[in-house]
Amino acid sequence: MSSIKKDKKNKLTLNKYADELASIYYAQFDALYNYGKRFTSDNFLIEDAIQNVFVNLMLDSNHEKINNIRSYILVSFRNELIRLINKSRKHDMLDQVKEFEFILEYSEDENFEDEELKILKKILNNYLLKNTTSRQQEIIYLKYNLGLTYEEISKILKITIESCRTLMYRTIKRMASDPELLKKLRFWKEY
Amino acid sequence: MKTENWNFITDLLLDDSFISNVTDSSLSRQYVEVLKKEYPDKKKEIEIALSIIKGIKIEDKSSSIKYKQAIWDRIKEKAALTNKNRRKSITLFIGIAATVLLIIGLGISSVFYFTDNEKIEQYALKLSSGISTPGLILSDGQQLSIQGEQPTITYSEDGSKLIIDGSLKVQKTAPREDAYNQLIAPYGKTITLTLSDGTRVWVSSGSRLIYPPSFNRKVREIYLDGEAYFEVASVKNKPFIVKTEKMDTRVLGTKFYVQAYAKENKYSTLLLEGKVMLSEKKGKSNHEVALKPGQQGYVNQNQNDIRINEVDNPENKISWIHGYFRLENERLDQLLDRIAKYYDIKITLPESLTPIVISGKLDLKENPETVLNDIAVLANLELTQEEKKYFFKKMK
Repeated sequence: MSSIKKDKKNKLTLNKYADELASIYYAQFDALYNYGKRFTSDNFLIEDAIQNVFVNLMLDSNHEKINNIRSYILVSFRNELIRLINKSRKHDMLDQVKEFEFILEYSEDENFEDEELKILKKILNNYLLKNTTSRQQEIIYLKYNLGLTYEEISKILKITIESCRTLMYRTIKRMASDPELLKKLRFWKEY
Repeated sequence: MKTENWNFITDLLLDDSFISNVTDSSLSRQYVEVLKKEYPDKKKEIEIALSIIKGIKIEDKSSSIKYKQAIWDRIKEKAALTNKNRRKSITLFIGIAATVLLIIGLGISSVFYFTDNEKIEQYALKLSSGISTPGLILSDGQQLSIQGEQPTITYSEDGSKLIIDGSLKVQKTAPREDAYNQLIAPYGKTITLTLSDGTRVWVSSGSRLIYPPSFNRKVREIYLDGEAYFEVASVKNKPFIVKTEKMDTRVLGTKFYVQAYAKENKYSTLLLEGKVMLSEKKGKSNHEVALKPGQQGYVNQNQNDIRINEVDNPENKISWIHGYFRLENERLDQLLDRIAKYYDIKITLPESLTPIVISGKLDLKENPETVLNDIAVLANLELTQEEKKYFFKKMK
């Protein structure tokens, strides 16, 4: 009898949580999808990763213990996507040597109405590709695109909060003091 | 040209309030103007920091709501499916645990009761409240009536075909494990039934027998309500169990006669050949009793346990399968009791006449009157009749 009661209780919490999860899903979908785009151009892998993350959340009965659902979802999404990417690469012998990359790049077909913005993005994109590591690119993305706190970033990158601050500081300091970049920005601004 | 203070740019780029205000496009211009007023000598630095953030930020594409919905539907589906499977495995585990417990609880002597098919009794219970007209009901629902003087029913090995009174019938659905056939013998007739395993059953008049068209399980189980004589075909490692409401008879291959009358609380098994095990189901003892040929085990009504009687000529008790009663010093009241059951009639005998014993051969004809007249002549008694009730009296 007790097992039946327990089952019913579990089912109730699961259903109740499914509604909450639905709103989180719709609110987070674009962020996750775009974040995933930085790892791979394979839309199916991104879809699968999002799907697996939420299926696991639906089945997880310990969801009450998750204090920060946003960073929890981001962490599990990142882990899942990397797992799927590595899995798909295993079948491709040529790609196997390739290491995981966080690619911060702008596609040419992106149609910016704002000419100023288009030029700015090209300048920054060139700089980042030439001068930063994938890890630096990722922390920039997490900070400026997703607006995460260092605490949240530290969970995703699996380093301490202090290391996050240091990484971020070094990246930005180097960028802000890069004469080439400043020259381009100044030239464009003054023009 | 004065170079910018890159420390100030760095500070701005690392400042959370600067980031959040600038990345929000609706506020960024306004915010920057306020900031410029606050730091009039750092206008260039503020502009460059703004340009860097604008250039760094990737424009997020938003997917269509249809696309998101399709993926969400898949998530719900997959979660429900996975959850179902998890539940299933839990239930299965509990099921196995319960089985183990039950077997331990019952003890080794009763293990054979824990067959994988308890359904036949449930099926019998369900049917006992339903159709009770004589005939044969197949597993696909076909209802066949039984005619002829000495009806015979013979099943094919797979149970899909049967010959009833010389004509071939086919069960439409392939015999499933839980599909049963039910036979109710018409009053005044004994049906000779050959089951798919070769076992021969003489189903006495008015008796009900439930059995699978073919025995696909580890145990051959049939259910009896009434009386029947069995010549069980020997099948290695596949015991044959005759279930009744109160008593089960378990055999491997043998000849025996079972009576099970729930209304009268009368359950007995007479063994003619081989070996059988009896067990009483409602009582507390729950142990098996072995019978030797010539022994009759019966359920003691008061104690709910099994007693054994020695029977002198067991063949006589089953002579009805050949269409007659072979009587050897049979008490009149007991004989009339058998006849009453056989024809579903009521017979009244004065107490003073019960000590009369009869010997001889009594043909079981379709008409009970003829049979009772024969008895009246044999015992020198007078027979009167009122509809289905018969009265014996001393000859005047």
